[in-house]
Amino acid sequence: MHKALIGAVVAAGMLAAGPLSAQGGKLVTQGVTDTEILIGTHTDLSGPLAGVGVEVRDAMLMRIEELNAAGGIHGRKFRLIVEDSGYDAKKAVLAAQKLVERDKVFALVFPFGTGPALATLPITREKGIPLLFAGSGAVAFHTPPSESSFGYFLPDHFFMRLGIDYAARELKPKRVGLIYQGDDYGEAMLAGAKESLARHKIDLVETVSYKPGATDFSAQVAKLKAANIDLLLLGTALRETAGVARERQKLDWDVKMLGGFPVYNTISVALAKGAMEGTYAVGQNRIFYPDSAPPQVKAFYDKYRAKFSRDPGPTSVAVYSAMSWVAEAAERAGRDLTANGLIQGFYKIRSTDIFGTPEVTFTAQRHMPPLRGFIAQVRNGRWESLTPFLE
Amino acid sequence: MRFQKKTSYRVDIRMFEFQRDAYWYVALVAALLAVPLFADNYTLSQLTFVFVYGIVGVGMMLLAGYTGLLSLGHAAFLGVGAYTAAVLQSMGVDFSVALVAAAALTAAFGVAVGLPALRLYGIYLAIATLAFAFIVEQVMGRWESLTHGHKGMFVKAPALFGVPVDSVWKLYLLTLALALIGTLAARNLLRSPTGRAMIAIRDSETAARSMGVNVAWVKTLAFAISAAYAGVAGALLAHALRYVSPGQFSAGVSIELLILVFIGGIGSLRGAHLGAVFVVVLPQVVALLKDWLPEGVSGLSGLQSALFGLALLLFILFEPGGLNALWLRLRYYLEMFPLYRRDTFRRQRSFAKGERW
Amino acid sequence: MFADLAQTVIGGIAVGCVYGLTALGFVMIYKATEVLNFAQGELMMVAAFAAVAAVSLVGAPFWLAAVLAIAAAALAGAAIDRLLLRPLVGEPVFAIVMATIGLSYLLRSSVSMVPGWGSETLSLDSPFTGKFLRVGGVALSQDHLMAIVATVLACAVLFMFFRYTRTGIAMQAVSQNQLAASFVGVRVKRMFTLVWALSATVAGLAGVLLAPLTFVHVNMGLIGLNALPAAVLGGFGSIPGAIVGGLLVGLAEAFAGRFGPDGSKEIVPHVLLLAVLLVRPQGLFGISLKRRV
Repeated sequence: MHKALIGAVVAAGMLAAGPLSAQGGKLVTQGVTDTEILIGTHTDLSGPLAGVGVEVRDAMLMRIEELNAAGGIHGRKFRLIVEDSGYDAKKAVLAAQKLVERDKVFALVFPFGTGPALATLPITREKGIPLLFAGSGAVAFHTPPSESSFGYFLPDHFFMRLGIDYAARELKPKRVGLIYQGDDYGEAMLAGAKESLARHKIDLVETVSYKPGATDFSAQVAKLKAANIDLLLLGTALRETAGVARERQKLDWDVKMLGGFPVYNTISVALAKGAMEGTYAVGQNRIFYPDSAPPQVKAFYDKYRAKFSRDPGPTSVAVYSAMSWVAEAAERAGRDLTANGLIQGFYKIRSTDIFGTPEVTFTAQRHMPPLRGFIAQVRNGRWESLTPFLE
Repeated sequence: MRFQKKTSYRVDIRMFEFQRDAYWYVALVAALLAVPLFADNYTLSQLTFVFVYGIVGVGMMLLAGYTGLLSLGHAAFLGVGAYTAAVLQSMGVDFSVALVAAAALTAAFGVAVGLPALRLYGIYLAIATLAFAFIVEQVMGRWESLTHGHKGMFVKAPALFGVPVDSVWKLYLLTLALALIGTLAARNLLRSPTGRAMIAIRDSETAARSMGVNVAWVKTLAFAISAAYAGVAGALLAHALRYVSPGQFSAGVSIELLILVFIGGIGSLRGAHLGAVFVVVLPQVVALLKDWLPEGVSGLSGLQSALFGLALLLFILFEPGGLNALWLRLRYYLEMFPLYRRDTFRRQRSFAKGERW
Repeated sequence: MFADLAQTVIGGIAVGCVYGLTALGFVMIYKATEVLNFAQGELMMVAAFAAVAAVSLVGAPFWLAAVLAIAAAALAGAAIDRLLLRPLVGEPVFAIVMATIGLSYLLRSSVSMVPGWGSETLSLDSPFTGKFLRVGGVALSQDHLMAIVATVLACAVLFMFFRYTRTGIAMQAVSQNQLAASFVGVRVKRMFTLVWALSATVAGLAGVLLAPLTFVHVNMGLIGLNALPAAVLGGFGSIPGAIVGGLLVGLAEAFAGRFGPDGSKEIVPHVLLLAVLLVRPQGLFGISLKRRV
């Protein structure tokens, strides 16, 4: 079996870790009994991102319920332990240690939040517990490929690349500007934008940033307008996308806007009240609307709404898919379920899902979903896909 | 009640007022040293965080509890210490050097904050330190060449005098040792003339000044020492978390430290450690209890924050002396059993003087 | 160029008014009780949620929802004083400040536990949402205009209240010297409750004005932390000081964001604050009090 390289960033630490390096590359099987598979996760239930963090827990619980009702995996039912990380690295570290060492979970699934998830990574790597589909766009989970960790969200710079390739083809901008959030997500967008624009030899004339949680963008948007750009790249999150869109509307400025995956959601569009009309975005999973969704998607939406009295957001869809892949990998690993078997099981996955995504596979070199996305645009207040899935 | 018959002035400045206490503390330390023998990594990690927060708590206690200067920006000092350790570690520097560098750099920052703060009082000082902390947090995020910006840095295991500190129990022992040294140093400081000058400034600055205390020097020293403690704690925190990012040192952390100091009990070093236990362990206790709670309650998001706030309010309403006061009551009860008199600790009406009439 | 400058100034004033209103709440309580109310932002947030609740559950129009929300905030402020702070009379100020911190935690987490809403971002539409005022080359959203007008009105009302009504003068007396005020016959405890209710009203107004601009979510109260530099800048002693402080911070942010290097927008208010405190340790309009020995 191909002995995976431990990430460059973590490798030195692990190798310098003396007697533990022998354990660092091996996977450990625990948390599997004849009747149940114990999995754990930690998410933000009480901190700044609690709104999305709660979705992670809810969606995972729902999928597990469905899987257990269908008989489980080879007769074993899933049991989930959820810890609250409060988006705090210290609590995430303690939660991960509790799950791995005290509760002895089989795997950590979709730990949410880049900071908490990255803080968890050294622990799971050291203990040989699989960290599956981290809820973060950070590349450390899959680059360089590590045996025990998978990422879910495609790298932000990939989205930028897809988006800019499309823009270069269809929109042909000459001067491009970028507004990005002053954290790891925004910086990844900045790096991706710089790289992709350089490749197309388009000028990135102005970049402005804002502090996460900022509510006033008048200065930033005015600066961008003064730079005379014809395409504005959005490295913004939920509320901020709507805020920037409204600011653009206020200035009566008709510059085209293009964003990455976090821009592709219905909440921003609803908050912006028409100001986001015409905005482009790159999506990883398709958004469906209740009146036009295929029946199985509508069933998912109705069930979710009935159970949790709120609409499923893009994160719910992501978690639902991720949990489905975990179940499928466990299924393919066979009755004799080990951690190694699970990882091998991932490589055998050939699954599609109810949301119409093309076939998903994993390889030893690619511990994340296939690199593909599609371009969508807001038309009449709804996202409409303009392209099929592109590579 | 235990009474001390004083026969010389030296009794006043002894480390422990009653020599018997020393034996208890030695026993405590011995027990803590023995913990790695039978505890799992989860418990050891928790205790490591408790000691780290205890160190920064002692620093804050020296500043807020003993000098009366309220600082809302200590998270910035933590961050500076953490990043110093992270950067030096990535350059392969030995941890002993990194620790000293972290302490020295943060102390310099402390002086930088303390000097202009000499003229500020009460709330103005608090907000000025908050502003300072915001600025440092932004700089940490923007200075990408040094700090990797908001992506954060992974921190490798440190090497102390060449010996790698690569397992949880080794880090635990290191943190325990530093916490011990820090607390002893603080206790020594407090029984020295400088320490008593600090307490004098807290109680009445004008009176202290008229007694000949060099107020400016002592205040700046208090800031520097407190910052140095935070720097050391930050260096240890970087290695306990193995990943640092600017978002980990936000204003929320400063407020957490403030809560630590208050709930522990202002005006006591013991309180710093008790407060650290509260801040680190309470969320974990809540997490453990969650398994026993009914589904509806345990599923509520925000439960931890609510309990935090509730605990804070209950302490303020019923025991403003904090956990330290609770401990003193317990100790008194055990000492005097069965002759415990409840009214010894009856809450008196408090008549704190304000800044105005 | 002129339009650009004017736009920046208008934008700065608009944001500054909101900061000023929040700072006003801080200053009023500090003047009367020497307490820094860390729960001010959370009161704003609760008022905003109350307004959203009124609109979606009862179908109230914006004005009615706003009035209801502000009334609810006033009641909440009075309740806080009566239930939480009255038992704490005489405790050192630090303890009371910690009480407000605990309260802010409690408020934030209680609201986030409300099923369905607590963890969402909601929007509150005023009759002005989506409409803009464009004069010359300068654009201003009508929500912002409403905020500016409301702030000016609120300041005028408060000024007249404090200057010309018995209660207002009594409140001033209490904030200057409690003992003397009680000698003269002012019901000091009642004044405290009133001050808290008034400050909460201002917070409620700020929340309702802010909601169409920044959306309603459980962390919207964190803007209170941004308004603290505004309050301190103006000196914690006076109401016009708070507004001026807010305007200064708003303008500084606007100019730094528009003309300064990227990232300076976040730092400038704090740097400005430190610079002013260095020169005038009591803020711009604060009074340098003689300290008791």
